[in-house]
Amino acid sequence: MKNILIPTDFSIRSLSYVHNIVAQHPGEQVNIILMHALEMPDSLFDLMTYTRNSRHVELISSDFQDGCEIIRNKYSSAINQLKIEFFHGNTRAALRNFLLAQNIDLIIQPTDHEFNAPSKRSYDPEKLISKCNYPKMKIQLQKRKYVVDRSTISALLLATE
Amino acid sequence: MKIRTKILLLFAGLTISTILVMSGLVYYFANQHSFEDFYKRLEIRAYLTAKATLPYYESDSVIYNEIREEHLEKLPAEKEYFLKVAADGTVHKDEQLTLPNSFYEQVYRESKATYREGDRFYEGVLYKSKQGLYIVIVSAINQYSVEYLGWLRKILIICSVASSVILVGAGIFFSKYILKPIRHMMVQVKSISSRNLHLRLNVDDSGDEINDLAGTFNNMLDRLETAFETQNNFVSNASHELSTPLTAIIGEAELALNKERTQDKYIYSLKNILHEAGRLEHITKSLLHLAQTGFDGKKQEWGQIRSDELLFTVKNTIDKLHPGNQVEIDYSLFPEEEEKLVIPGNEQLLELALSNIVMNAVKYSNNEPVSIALAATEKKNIIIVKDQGIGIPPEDLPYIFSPFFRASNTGRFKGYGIGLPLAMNIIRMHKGDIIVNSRVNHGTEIRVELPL
Repeated sequence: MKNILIPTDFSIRSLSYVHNIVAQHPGEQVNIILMHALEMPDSLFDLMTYTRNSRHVELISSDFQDGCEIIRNKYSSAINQLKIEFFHGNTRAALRNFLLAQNIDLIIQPTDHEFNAPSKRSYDPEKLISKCNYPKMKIQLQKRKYVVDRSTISALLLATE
Repeated sequence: MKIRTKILLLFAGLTISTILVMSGLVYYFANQHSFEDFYKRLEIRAYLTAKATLPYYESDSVIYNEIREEHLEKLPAEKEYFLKVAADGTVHKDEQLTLPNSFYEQVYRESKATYREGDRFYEGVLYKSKQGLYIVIVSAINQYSVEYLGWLRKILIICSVASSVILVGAGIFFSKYILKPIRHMMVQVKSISSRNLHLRLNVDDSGDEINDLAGTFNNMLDRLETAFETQNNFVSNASHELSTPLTAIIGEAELALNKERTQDKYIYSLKNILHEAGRLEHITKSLLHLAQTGFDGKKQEWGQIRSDELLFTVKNTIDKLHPGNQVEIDYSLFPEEEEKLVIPGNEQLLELALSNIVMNAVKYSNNEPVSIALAATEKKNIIIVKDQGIGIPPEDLPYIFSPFFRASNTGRFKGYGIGLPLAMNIIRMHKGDIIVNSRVNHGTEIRVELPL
């Protein structure tokens, strides 16, 4: 069973890569890990009170959660697990540790560099990912005519049109 | 009594009594301690006096007197008594002293004792000297601690009164603050009458009991509004829904009667009339059903519905009513497991709501393609109806669920502004939600969420 990592900015659009992944792994179950990268805080007090997840969970919009569940239900035979993980840090070593801990087999690299940071600490991990030597897969999504809203579930539909 | 007064009394009573008990204890212990302190001073004086007056050696007397004079200031109304104790234990009493016998006995037994008479304090010690056994009694008025305790009493009383005033003030604020959401809600509920039943109470996401209450109120208002509006709009609803097939029947009949025609033409006309009458019957049935359910919630036939079947039924209905439509069902998000698609609800009502939404999509897009997608999360089913029509202007968006409201760009289209409010009411009855996303001239996307 493959563990596949998708960097996400918690937009429904980033979930669309799952369609491609499932299409490229026919007859195989995969674990999908949606990774959101966060920088570590700079100030001492923030560092001391930094918690691993609880404060960042609110970045996940309910629409995104709905989207995850829809995808999970749609590909319930192809996807073994679909989970959201936060990656804290901005160094290559930290990312290497994270990938090792999550036992990642494949990293999805979006080619369209569309990243809307949902919080001040969020950043696009594209540079870090391109430097690490894990197997990577580039996926190009179809360009949309117009952007409705980053949190509409119908963004999921567009990918398969 | 109002809850506000109750809260105020409870809060003030609790805190003020705590403060009073505390001040009382402070006063009591301070009082107690000042006695002890004073007795200690008297005791030292008694021993010094005894040593100075009845010394072992004559030279000591001078030194002791010097110490007394130099280091001990005279206490107010200080008096000293020397009472000789006989060998058999009897005491030669002084007439000026009105001390109880138990005092002397205690001095004899424990070699010291204390006694208090108002502000005057007595300390007696047993002293053994060359001349024999003596009871030395020193008495004085405890002027300092009287003053000190007087001050303490004053301070405590002033503090208690001041803090009581502050606490009552805080209590008023506190009770106001606690009951603010309730009063707020009361104002909101009062503003809702039969004319503006679409108003709802504000519910934030703090999740407290007041919000639950507001939610319950809103739920009740939903039901009320549905019933009220179905009743109110039944006539206009009926005419709205019935007029189209009736017009078709009348037109067809008039056309057929226009002049003599062949048998085939009559059969064709009659078939058309029959088809339109069938439509009419369908609409009448659903309207009647709606009216019944709107009037009496108990008559609703609640059951488990497959939401995908619901979509197919809606598609069929649309095909019948609008032949040549381009409604497509989008399967791209269908879940694999069928049990995810079972929702509780009333099939006819949901069908009516959905077909209203889809018919709007068809109508306001001039028969452009309309897609209906179905997706399932763990807790709800989501139906997305997307068209490429004229869209809804953003300033009209908040009102599209109000009865008889029509968006400003719908002039070219026939309608009475009933379809969407009706759909909203039905979805609300199912505890679902309708979310509208729209861009003028690009299309509208309506998301219907129905809980599992």
